[in-house]
Amino acid sequence: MNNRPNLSEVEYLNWREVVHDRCGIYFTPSRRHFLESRLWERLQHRKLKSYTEYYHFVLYNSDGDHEWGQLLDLLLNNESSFFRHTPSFTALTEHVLPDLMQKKRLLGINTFSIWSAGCANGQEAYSLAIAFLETAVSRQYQLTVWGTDISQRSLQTAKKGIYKPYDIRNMPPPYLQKYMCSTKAANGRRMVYQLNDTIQKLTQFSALNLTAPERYSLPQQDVIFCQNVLIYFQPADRKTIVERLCDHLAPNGYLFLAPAEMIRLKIPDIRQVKLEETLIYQRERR
Amino acid sequence: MDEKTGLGKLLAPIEWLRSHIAAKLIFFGILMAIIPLSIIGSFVFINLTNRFEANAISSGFDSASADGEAINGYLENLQSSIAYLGKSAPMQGMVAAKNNGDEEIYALRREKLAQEFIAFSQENPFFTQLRYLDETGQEIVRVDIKLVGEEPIIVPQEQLQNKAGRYYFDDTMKLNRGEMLISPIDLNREGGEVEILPDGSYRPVIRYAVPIIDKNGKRHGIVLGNAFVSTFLDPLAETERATDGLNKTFVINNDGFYLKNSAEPEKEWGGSSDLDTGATFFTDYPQYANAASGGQLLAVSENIDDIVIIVPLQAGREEEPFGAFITIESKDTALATVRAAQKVFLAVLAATVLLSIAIAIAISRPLTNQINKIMEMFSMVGIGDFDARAEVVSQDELGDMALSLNAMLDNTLSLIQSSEEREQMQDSIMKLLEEIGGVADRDLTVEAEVTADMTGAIADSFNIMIEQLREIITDVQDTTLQVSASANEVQATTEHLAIGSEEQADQIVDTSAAIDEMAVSIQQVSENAALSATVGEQAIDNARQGTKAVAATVDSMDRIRVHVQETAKRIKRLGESSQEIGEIVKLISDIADRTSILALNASIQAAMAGDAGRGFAVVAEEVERLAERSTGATNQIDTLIRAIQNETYEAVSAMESMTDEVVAGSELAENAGIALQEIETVSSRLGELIQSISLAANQQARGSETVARSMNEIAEVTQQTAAGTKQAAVSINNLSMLADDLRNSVSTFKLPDHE
Ligand SMILES: C[S@@+](CC[C@H](N)C(=O)[O-])C[C@H]1O[C@@H](n2cnc3c(N)ncnc32)[C@H](O)[C@@H]1O
Repeated sequence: MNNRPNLSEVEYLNWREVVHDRCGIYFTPSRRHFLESRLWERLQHRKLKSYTEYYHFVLYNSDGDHEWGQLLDLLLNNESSFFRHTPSFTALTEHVLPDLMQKKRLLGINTFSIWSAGCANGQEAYSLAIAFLETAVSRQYQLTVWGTDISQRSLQTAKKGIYKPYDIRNMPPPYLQKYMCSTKAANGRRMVYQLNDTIQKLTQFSALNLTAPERYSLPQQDVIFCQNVLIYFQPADRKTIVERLCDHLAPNGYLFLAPAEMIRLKIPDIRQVKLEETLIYQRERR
Repeated sequence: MDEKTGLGKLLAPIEWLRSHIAAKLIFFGILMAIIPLSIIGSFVFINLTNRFEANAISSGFDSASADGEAINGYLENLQSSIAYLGKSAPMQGMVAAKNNGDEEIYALRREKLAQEFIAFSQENPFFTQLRYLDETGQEIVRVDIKLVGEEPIIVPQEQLQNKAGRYYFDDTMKLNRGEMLISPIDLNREGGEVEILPDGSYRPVIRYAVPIIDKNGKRHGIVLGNAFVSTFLDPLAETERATDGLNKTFVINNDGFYLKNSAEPEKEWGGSSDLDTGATFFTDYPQYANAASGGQLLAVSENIDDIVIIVPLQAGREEEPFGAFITIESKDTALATVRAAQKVFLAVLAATVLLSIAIAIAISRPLTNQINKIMEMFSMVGIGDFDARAEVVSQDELGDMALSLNAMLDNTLSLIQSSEEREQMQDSIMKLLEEIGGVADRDLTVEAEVTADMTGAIADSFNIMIEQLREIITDVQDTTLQVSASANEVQATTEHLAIGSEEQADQIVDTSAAIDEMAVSIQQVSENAALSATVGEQAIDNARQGTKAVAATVDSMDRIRVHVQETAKRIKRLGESSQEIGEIVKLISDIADRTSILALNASIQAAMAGDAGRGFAVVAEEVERLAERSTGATNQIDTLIRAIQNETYEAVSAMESMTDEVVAGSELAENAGIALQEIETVSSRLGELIQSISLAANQQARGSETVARSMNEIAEVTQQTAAGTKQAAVSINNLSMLADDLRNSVSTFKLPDHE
């Protein structure tokens, strides 16, 4: 692995552009090494000689699109965990959900729609479902949690709902008992944890590229979580995506970003909700 | 055979043949050589010629069609290159950027397109020029390759020309999307004249061009490639077939004009648009004209003296043929090798016959010799001489036979004396064999009895051998036991290790993902901090300006206060002087009062004085009137002064209160100034703080970047280690299996109990 040749400047720029055009991820010079190591892995797998040869393969070969999918799965960072950003979840259960539930009760609405945009292996989507169930104790709602991601590999994992011990490190033990059961892995060596049917039935996973130009094919949302996704994009792209996400907020709907992901956002009808250590926007009722 | 008659002479060899083995052998030898040789020979003679001709045609056909296909391949490659470049990402990007009016991206893509052109011209060395012309015919990107193998050059903007009106531009602009213009191959013209290169050769070119049409059907010009055709035509004339003079190679177009003529190069390019010599293949070789214009891959050889191979040429995939590649080879030269081979074959045949005669003679001589000796010996024994022995003169079986015959005679003689001894020997051998028979069944416990006779020695050495074998087998069994035990142990540990390192690898991959993400988000924070720092700086600037403004306000208020105080003083002084005036006025009015009394007295005196005082009385009256008037005036002045004094008093008090206000105002402004200054210091400190955060975050980002990087590497290594350990587990497993096998195979040996 140490005989890996360096990515030349031209190759780096070409690859950076292609990756950015296709999925929005922008490989800053500090992540050039990351890019290089993933490219090398794939091109060796394809038995090709150079990054340029591989570039032409991905762009022009009839098998290039399939290969791009494989490469993309390597380039994406699908780091995640259950209840990852505690202040956001606290704000959700203590402020946002009670507020929305009260308003819905007045209007006599029974449905709830929550979206985890960039859901990685699904932990965020499942956490949202659990948080909702834990809050909505007094009344029955019809909840759908949408999990979308660009990575097919991640979506597959998410749909299975099976996790390694490392993946559930943040899961509060009571929830673990209540919503998950442990089994032996398929290869029979290790323990793995699987989500209950109750939770799995509330979730819907599908592929969605946040930077694709067409309109997101999802209904209006009461809550959108889009955390640790925008950091991989350039500021301009970040802004466009946040605007498009705000477009998908139902009246009174809330958008959760991770702190420090966006500064100075000016969209009509969108205001920032100031809650400890969070970055939350809300659509004001029109 | 002393008969010398004609018949006797004729029959002598037959007679000799009948009575001598040697003669028979020789005769057989010759027949054996000649019969197969002549059968094979005649077969070969008949077949070889046909086969060779067919071979010559098919190999000529193969190599000619390979050459023709090579040309087609080059041309197809050119076609697909241009088709690709017309659709390439930078080209599409340029069109998009143009449609969006985005000049910066347009320029960037143009740069990219030039790079793409360079890459293609390096990959496909036949291009001499690659260009992109916009819809007005203006060259936008142009890459030139002066000579094959030279570095491509991007032609600088100021040297680019407009090519509107050229047939290749106008014709291509009329094409639909997906269509391509392919020019005929002709000689390049510069300024209307056929271009002649420095070495006197011409520059034949072919052009490929595609229109660029966006998805709305708007045209954006053309992509055009010129290729230098000599590059692949010339080598054809220089192949072995073409240069040995036995073979002629041509490339012609559909009108029969030569693009290449290896026999008569001066006839090349005879077309009217080229050198216009009018020389064509069709007039030079009318007998092949029909075949050559057929447009099919063809070999012609029947009923004519030449082998003619025709390969149609296409300027690209699915294009009509534009001409053909033709080789003509005379049959005489093609079949020269066959004829030579025939001669060689005859010579070999003759040589073989001679050689077989010689060998037959050489073999038969010692053969008959030995037989003769045996015959002699038998005839001696026949007459009762048992001591007669055959002399051994040859090393072959006959010699052996003589030897055994001699030995047989010897044995037969001694047979009678030693039959008793032999029986004894047989017995002890049988016993020995019985004793050691167990070893064949892997029983190593056996031991042979060591007797005093001849077999005793054998038994002894046998026992020693068994002893050694026993030791070896025991060793092997011990060792394999040990090996398999330790292998099992190692296997267990490595398996454990493999599971461990697999888990570890997974964990490290997870961790390295986490660290990568941390690095990215720290980067994010540092960017934000940098942004805040600039905002902070702006705030400082604002505060600074504010402070300045406040200072200015304080200044001007100060000035106002001083002014007002000054004025108040003056007005006060005015009030004082008006008081003085009032005093004077009082004095005057006193004087006036006293004057009017005086005037009254005077008028009384004047009345008393009678007429004499009449004049004086008039004066006194006048004085009196004056005094009255001045009293009135002073009264008026007095009220005026009083009013002035009132007013000045009011003014002064108003001014006094105003100065108070000014003082208070300037105090306020001063306070504001101080506050602003504080803001300034606070926000500059804040700026520093933010800057240091940004610095720290930056540093952290860099740090975590290296951590992420080494984690990445560790992950790779661990993955490999995991794989390696697995591998090791497998091979150790194999080893232990091997040891088990070995143990099994030696465990079947039976060993004495105490071992
Ligand atoms: C680091 S994970 C964040 C997971 C989760 N939201 C959390 O905070 O734990 C980022 C995810 O964004 C996804 N992603 C990256 N680019 C995307 C795009 N253009 N469209 C949709 N998802 C994208 C990646 O596949 C990855 O799973």
